[in-house]
Amino acid sequence: MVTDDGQLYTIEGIAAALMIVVTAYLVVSTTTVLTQQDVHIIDLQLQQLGNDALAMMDTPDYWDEVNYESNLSSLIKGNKTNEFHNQFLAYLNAESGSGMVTGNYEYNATIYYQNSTEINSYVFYESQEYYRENAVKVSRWVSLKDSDHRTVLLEVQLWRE
Amino acid sequence: MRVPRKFDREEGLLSLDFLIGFTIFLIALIFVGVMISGLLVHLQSRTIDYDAVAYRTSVVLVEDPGEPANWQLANLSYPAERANVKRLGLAIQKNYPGILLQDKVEKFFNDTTSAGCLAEGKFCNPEDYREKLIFGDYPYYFNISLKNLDAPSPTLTVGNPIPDQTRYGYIKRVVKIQKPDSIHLYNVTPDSASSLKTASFRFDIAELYDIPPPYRIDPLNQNVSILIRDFSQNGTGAWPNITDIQICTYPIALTGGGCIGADAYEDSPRMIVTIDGNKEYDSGDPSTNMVTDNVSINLEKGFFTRIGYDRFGTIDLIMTFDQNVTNQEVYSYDSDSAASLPELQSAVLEVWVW
Repeated sequence: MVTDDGQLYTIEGIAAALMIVVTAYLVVSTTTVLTQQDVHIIDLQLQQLGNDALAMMDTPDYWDEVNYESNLSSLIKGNKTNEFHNQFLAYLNAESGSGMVTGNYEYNATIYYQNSTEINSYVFYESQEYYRENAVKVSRWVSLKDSDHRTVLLEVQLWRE
Repeated sequence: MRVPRKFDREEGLLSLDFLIGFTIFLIALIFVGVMISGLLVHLQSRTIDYDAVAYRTSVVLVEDPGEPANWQLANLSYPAERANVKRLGLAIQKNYPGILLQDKVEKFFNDTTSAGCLAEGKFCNPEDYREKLIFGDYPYYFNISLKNLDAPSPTLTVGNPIPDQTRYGYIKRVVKIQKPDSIHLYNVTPDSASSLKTASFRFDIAELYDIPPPYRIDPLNQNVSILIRDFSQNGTGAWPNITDIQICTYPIALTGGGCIGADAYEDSPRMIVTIDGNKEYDSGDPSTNMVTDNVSINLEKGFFTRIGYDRFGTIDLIMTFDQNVTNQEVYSYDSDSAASLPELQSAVLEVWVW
């Protein structure tokens, strides 16, 4: 025979279910999930900009079958650090003028190269000393137009001040 | 009623009430579970979504030539051609990301918000841009701006003004724009001893296409502009008359003379021949085609493609006169005849989406 002991009646069942559902909904909807994605998007923007700037500096403006050399290659070959700085910064700070200015970029540029025995590097340009800013690294293999057909790796550490 | 130490038949049975209640709970829980993925989206900041859309838009614009790759030749006045443009990429070719084609840039920023965009042959703002560039079901607002950094020029913009209060997605890209080669100049020198009455201009497309796309002279996809100068009178003081202009495949013998007349088409893209800078060539009335100074020939972009020539061909533009005008039978349309060669100019492209 069925008795009242330990039984869950329909009304109580529905009420309990509703309470659990509402509680679950409240818990999920009030929790602020802190994602790190905001930072990643800014990283992506900065990285894309740095890559674009290096790629465009490494693209010659005119076709020349013999002296097909990019600006970046001649700057590295001639160690023209100030010109590199001016051009690179001009690309980073370029604005169409439709929106707000986002500038203030700082960077360190390092060049890696291999001689006959080992891989060496030197600082090409340092606009500011790097401490602990949120920085990204962009790099580009630059083939230098000279008799040795050398290729160096230009690595730029880039951050917003 | 339970009796101690007596076998209970109802032990371990579930009541119907409990089953109903538990079922309702489970169904509700499943609903919540389905909703949770949607709940989490609302928790995240919308900026993340907008930034992603802005980035995607910039990639399509800068790194993709679009679909079809020569969509800049489409005549947007025709609904079928407009519908054929699936994606609006500005890149010159997929292997050269970041290098934009001038013609595509001009066509892209030539938009109108009016209802007459179809008749005007322009892109409809915002419908065409949302459908062919931004994508997605959500009707995003956007602003795309491009500024040339090498030559002083106004900023090209399409879309709405950027809002002050709303959060938006943003990306900046540094690009190069290819300025095409300019007019091709030829000076003619008569040779009284010669019986030659034609002057041919040869387009060796395969040879022109040996040069990488950012730097090549491209008569197939760009405007062809020729200026022939220094016409002079013959021994009896008569000025030359143009009697015929034909465009033929070269060599003629192999293809059975695939020639087409100068006035084959009435609508664009067509061939425009202007004599002495003021009168248009009329093939029907040769007596009016007297040249006293120069002849300019313009082939609107897409003309060669329209008449079925491709990148493997060699094309001759043959002009026939009623007397000798030149001592050189064939002039080459190449980098030597161009007044200025294709040049890449730096520019900055910014995309805002909200």
